[in-house]
Amino acid sequence: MSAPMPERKKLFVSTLIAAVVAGVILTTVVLPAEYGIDPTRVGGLLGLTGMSEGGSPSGGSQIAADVMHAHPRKYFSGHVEIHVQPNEELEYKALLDKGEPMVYSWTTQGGPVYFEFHGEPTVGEWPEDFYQSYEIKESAEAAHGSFIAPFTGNHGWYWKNLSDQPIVIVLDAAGYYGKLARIEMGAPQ
Amino acid sequence: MSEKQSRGAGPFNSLWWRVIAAFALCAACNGVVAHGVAGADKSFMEQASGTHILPFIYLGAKHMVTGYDHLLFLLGVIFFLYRVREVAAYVTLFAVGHSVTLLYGVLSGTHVNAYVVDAIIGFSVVYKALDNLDAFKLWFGFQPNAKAAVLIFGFFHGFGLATKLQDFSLSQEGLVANIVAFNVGVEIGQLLALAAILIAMNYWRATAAFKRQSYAANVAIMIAGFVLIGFQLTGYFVQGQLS
Repeated sequence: MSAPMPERKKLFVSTLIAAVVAGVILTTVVLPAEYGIDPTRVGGLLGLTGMSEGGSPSGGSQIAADVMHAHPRKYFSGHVEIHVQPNEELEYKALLDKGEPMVYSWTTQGGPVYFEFHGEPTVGEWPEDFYQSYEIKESAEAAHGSFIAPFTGNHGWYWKNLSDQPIVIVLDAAGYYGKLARIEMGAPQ
Repeated sequence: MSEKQSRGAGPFNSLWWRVIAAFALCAACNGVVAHGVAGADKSFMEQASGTHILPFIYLGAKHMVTGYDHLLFLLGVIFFLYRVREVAAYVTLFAVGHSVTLLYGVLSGTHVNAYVVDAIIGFSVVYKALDNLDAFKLWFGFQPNAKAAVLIFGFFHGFGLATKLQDFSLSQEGLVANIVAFNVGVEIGQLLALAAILIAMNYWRATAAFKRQSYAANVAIMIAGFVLIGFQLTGYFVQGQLS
């Protein structure tokens, strides 16, 4: 062991260095990662800021991004009453971009229908005549629900009047669709 | 919804299953949890009503083994302890210290600020590293009683453990037994961690470089302690004052 004085000084310098190194680690790594506090902007360069948003009380934005997305315009809503002859079939669909939502509710007056809720893409590379089926019922008088488009395209219902009476289908829908309209059977959309 | 349904007693709904799930979760993440208990464990603890000895032992052990602030302090404490009897004496003092305040804190409902306590735990790491470097003798000309320091800092570590449990709305039913079980788990975890640390230390001490490296190692421990202090104090000022 050497003389006490240099030893004291050495330890003092070591402690000072330890505190400085800790300060650098804190301000460049720990605080940006844990609290999003980034005084030196090094944390941002390292991609560490924003890590803390999930769990911390102040960090609701990650959750918000998962559960809501704001839209520049008001949603559309529609109410239609469709008269359907005995054994007539038709399609009624909403044009929705991928990820856009729609809530819907329809009921029949006069008898049950066969229906298939499905979607057909309008853009992108798809196999010919591709469509995605969401729900099929042999006989139903109502359906209600919410929907988020899995791809950009026309999403809606094929209905067939199963009764030998004319019926009315009352459809209510609201959402971020471009248009909600009857699709001519046989005409590709 | 699923939480309510899974309160049933079926084999796949049992508490054990949750503990296994919690373990799997921990193995999957690279997670060391310094300021709280992982999510799956939290949901287990809040739903656990009645006495669950082994699950709480497991959680206590897990908290200790994955709690780097406690482990750093422990490393500092045993750094220059070569004899088994000395290691046992110090570790016992530490265990007594944190057990007293863990049990007292939870059972009496004493709430201390988690960030403040964790900052003090960070300070205990710095203190022990400085002590290992003979700072008090060199700077102030006297050596504070090392055993008393370990006991006193043990009290703070215990309050730290208590705040982790108090984050949850623990069921009053079976509370005492569960806390004691958690405490037993903490000691088991501490012994497991201690065994690993001692084995590594023995290999290290056998090398010629140990003497030279031990100085730098304690400075490194001190850095980690300073980081913990800064981390927790910042947390206190940013988000912890209300709690």
